[in-house]
Amino acid sequence: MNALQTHQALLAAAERRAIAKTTRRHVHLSPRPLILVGYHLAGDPGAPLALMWGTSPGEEPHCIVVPEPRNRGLRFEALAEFAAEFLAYLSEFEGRDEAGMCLDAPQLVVPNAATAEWLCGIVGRFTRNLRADGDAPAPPSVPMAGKHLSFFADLMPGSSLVLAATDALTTHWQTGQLPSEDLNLAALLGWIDPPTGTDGPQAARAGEASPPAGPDSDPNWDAKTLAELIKEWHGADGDASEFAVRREIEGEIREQLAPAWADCWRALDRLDSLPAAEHVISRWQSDRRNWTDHCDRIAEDRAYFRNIPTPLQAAMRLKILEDRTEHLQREMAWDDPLVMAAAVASGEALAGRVVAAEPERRTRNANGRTVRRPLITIEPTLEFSRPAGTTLFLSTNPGVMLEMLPSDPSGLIRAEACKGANQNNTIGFLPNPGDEVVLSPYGKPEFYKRSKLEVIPWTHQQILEDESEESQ
Amino acid sequence: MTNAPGPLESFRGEFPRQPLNARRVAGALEAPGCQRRTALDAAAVNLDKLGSLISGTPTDRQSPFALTRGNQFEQQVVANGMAEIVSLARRHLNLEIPEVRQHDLSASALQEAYPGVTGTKMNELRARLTRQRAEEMLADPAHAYNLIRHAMTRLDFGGETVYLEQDVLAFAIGGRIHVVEIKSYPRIDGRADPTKASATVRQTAVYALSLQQLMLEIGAQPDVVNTTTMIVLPENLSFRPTAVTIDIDMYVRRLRRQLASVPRAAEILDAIPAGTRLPAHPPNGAGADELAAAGTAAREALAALPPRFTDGCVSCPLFHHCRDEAELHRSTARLGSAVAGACGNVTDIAAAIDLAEGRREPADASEAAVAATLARGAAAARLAAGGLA
Repeated sequence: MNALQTHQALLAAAERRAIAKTTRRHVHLSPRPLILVGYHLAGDPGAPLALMWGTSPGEEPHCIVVPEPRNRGLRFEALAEFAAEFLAYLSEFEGRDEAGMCLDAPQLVVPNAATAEWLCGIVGRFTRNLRADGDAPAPPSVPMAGKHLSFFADLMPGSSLVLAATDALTTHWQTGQLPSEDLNLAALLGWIDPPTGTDGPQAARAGEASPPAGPDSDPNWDAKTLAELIKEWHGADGDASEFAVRREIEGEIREQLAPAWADCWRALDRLDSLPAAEHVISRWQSDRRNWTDHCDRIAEDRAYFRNIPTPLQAAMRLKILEDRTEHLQREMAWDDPLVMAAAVASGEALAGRVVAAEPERRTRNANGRTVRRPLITIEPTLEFSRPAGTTLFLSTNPGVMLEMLPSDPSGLIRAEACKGANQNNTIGFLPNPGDEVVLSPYGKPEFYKRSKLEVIPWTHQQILEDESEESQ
Repeated sequence: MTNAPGPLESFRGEFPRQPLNARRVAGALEAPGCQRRTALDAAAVNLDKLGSLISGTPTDRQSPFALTRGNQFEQQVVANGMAEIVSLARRHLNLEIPEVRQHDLSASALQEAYPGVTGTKMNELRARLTRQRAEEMLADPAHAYNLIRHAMTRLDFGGETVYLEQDVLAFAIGGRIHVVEIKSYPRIDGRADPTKASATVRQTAVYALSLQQLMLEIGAQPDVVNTTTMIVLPENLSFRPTAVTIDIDMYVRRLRRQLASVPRAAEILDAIPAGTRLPAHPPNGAGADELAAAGTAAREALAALPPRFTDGCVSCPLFHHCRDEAELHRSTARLGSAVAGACGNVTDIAAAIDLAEGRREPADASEAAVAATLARGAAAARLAAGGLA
């Protein structure tokens, strides 16, 4: 936690409302998202109890209910209903441009990361390979939906294909409660968007009292309501009474899931109130590319997913994950003064006013050659204590790289431009005296082709049990 | 003869007790340094009942579906004379188990042989039998029981001896004790929920540590207890058991250190005003007035015990009450350990903001250091508001 975030948390508690952590929106919002909320039976993620979904806040959401979640037949019946509509929604995004890229990509919105992990991770994982032939076949739409859900599992940082509302909101706002309390969407929204007449903490308490957003249901409701209804379902004889119990269960479950459904829309509304950051569109472009690739794999029937990645795949994935995380951080800071201010507060970045510039300065480099190294002298706004030799980049033009020179007792910071502003055609990028500048650690990424891992790095070597015994 | 109740008993008074188990000990250590929780745990107060009494809302019970599933799984793996467990132990713990001679030390199993023994007496009996079985196992491994279920061991917690009901199975093979824990959350593609897995490891460490202490008591080496334990979980979404072995030695040692630094419960209770005690819990079906009066009395008794609010408090049954208190006192701890840590000895939110804005002079050197960090955050916020280059 950096000093700015600490300040924001204190302020949130004192003012009894959430404080903005960003001035821009850093996620893409689809004009037609699919909101998904659901429960599974407590302790059994393989037994979906109910799913509720829809694409418009005005409509009555669709809802499927499995009256006995432990019954495989009933489960497939319900999943097939969901799968048909899910596939219909996804098919809206199959249109392509001349270059063969999908015009837009779907976006799933869930209340929290746990729901995404359950639906895309577990439900996707255990339906994608179901056989639609042979004994006890699954409806063919179910494994197909499972393949799509698996695509939405395990996405990279910066992707907006799946939005977990709590994660998206905590990226943009700081509350005055414990970080783990922010996992409750209703409470989090209470801080960010308290109804008139209440304040953040009051609204958060009210939110806590509403039914959970899933994927785990309220254990007290399980005991008092659901257990009774499932018992009634087993006791029902004849279609008419089964139908009646099913209606009753559906009514109860709608009541439980409706708040989470509404909260997802509220979360999108709040996010929509912020102007989109500049790089959001390029990240969505990459999401569209991924979606296009996935559609190609589906069309060619080669959408395979590994249950357990090979060590090489895991190592590769980790590398990409690190790159993407860094990349997202960088883009957010460039796009958003408040995010950049956090880097200044933590001491990684330097903010200040240029008091002098020597664009013609030349020094001798290590090889003894004379090179042009323009110098700027900065009066820092906040104390900056990184050592000489630290390289930073101009926030407004990240191609300009500056190296910190040994500080002098005046408290002024001297930095020489070693890249991006030391030639006649680029010298104009050097800031002028009087300019307010921020030098950040976020340089322009160098787009080398990603080196492909060919040998398993030592971090991902597996120790075979036989070997370990021998060495003992 | 001193029949006067100790400070712990007199504080608990008529309030219902609930003996500690590993889950609770592990939970207590998630909120390190909380004197309130330590005193309540050492006094074996029923925390769930206390929590719902003071907050006026029923505590979350465990879902009947989760319970059923857990029990079903456990029954399945221990069925047929533990066939599944024994075969998993042979494979994963490399144990040679020619035959299983098991002994169940649960209260319900002992009821028949020892009619009329209940409560503390039963705990003592079970602890004594556990000790005997362990001694026999070391003296004559070829004929003694080699699989003990529901053993009862003791653990020193905050200077008090608490009884621990062991959920685990213990195999005594080749002069060593191997601990086996059965859990019902799934292991999917070789990976279990990391939060649940780490909680299991911490709980198992509590059992292993108390078994080690038992070994010391009977004059054996503590390393008789093998710290490589086996955890049995359902594989993927099925009921088929699978096992993982994990060396929890590091966790046991950490636990021993943590337990050593638990504040002395008796000292905490000595420091509170004499006569502070919890009220009796109103009987089932008591009226709202009676419940409210008992709730108020309990809150007053608790107020004497200093809490320590941290990130780990969310799982404590008293969470809502302590959170209200932290909010009332405008405490920086309310914002979590990261903020509280950054604010150091400035514990008041308003004071911290005043320091950040320079409206308040730091009182001493440590406050000055905190003020410097906080002021940096405030300055960065102003910088951003002014439009950062």
